[in-house]
Amino acid sequence: MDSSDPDARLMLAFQQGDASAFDGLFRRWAGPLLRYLERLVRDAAAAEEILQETFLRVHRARERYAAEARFSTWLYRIATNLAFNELRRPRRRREHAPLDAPGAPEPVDGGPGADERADARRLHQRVSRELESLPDRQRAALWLVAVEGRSYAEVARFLDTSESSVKSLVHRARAALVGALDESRAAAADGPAPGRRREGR
Amino acid sequence: MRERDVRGRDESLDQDLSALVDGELDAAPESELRRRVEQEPELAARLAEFEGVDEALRALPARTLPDELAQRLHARLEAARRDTARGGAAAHRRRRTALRAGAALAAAAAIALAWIATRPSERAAPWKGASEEDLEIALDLDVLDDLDVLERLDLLERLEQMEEPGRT
Repeated sequence: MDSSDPDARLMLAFQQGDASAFDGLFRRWAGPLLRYLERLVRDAAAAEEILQETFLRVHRARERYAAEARFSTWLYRIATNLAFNELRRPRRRREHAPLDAPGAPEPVDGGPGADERADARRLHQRVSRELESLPDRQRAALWLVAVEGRSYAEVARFLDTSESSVKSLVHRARAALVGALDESRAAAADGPAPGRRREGR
Repeated sequence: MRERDVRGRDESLDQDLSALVDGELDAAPESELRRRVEQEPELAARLAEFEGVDEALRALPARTLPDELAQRLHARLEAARRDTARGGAAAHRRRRTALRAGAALAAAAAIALAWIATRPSERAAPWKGASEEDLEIALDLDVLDDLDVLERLDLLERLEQMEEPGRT
C-alpha cells in the first residue's frame, strides 16, 4: 500500500467495513471533481450525474480495490471516461445554458468597486466561453494541469495517453485561450460595456 | 491582433514555455529557458500570457457543492443495496442486455482476459487479477468502463453501439 496516500488508507478502511471512510472520500473529492466535470461536460446537471455515478462505481468496486495506484488517479480516470462517454453521445445535445451565461442580466450593483466586479464577471464569462469552445481533450488537460495542479504524468493516466501528448494538449489549449481572450478583449474595448459608468474614466 | 508564428522551431519553443509554467521541463532545459526568458522580452511576454490564462481559469467562480448531492448518492446506494438483496433485478436486466449483445461482448471479454494474462505485472491497476468471476463482472456493462484493459480495446465505442435505445 502507498502509505503516503491518505485516500488509499480511507479506501482500504472502507473496504474493511468503515462506511464513514467512503463519506470521507466523498467530502474530500466531490467538490474539485464536480468543478472539473462541469467544465468538461459543460452542463451542471450532467456533471452532477457523472459525479454520482463515479462514486457509485467506487462504492461497487471497493472489494476489488488494490492501492497500487493513487486513489485520485483511479477516481479521475473513472470520471473522465464517464464524461467522455457523455460527450460522445450524439443523441444528447446540450439543452442547458452554459455554466456562465453571458446573456444573463448583470446584477444591480452600485456599491464601491462595482465597475471592477462587473469587469471581473465579464472576464469570467469570456474565459468560461472560450474554455467551453476548446476540443474536449484540450479542455480536460488544461483544466487538470492549470487549475488542479496535476502533473503531465497523472493527466496522461486520466486521458490514457502519453506525457508528450499531454504537453501538446495543454500547450494548444493555452495558446488557443490566449488568442481568443485577446480577440474578445479587443472586441469588448470597441464599444461601451452595458451599464458601465463613464464618469471619471 | 498580433501575428504569431508557431510553426517549426517556434512551436517547440512555445510548447516548452507552456511546460515551464507547469514545472514539467527537465532541469537543464528549464534552466536554459529561464535564462532566455530573462534576456528576451518577447519570451517573457509569452510566458506571462500563458500564466495569465491559468490565473483566469483559477479565478473562475466555483459552484458550491449542492448539499443534497451526498444525500442523493446515499439514496442511490441504498437503492442498489435493496436491489441486490432482492436478487439484483436491475443487474439481471443488464445481463440480459449483455447476452443479447452476446457474441461480440464475449469475444471482447475473452480478448481482454488474454490481454490481462500478458500484461506486465508491474502495471499499476486497481484490480487484483482476472478470474471467472472477473469475466462475469466484465459482462456487467457498467463495470466495463472501469477496466483499463477494456478501455484500451476501445470497448466504450462498442458499448454505445450495443446500448438499448433510450438508455440514459
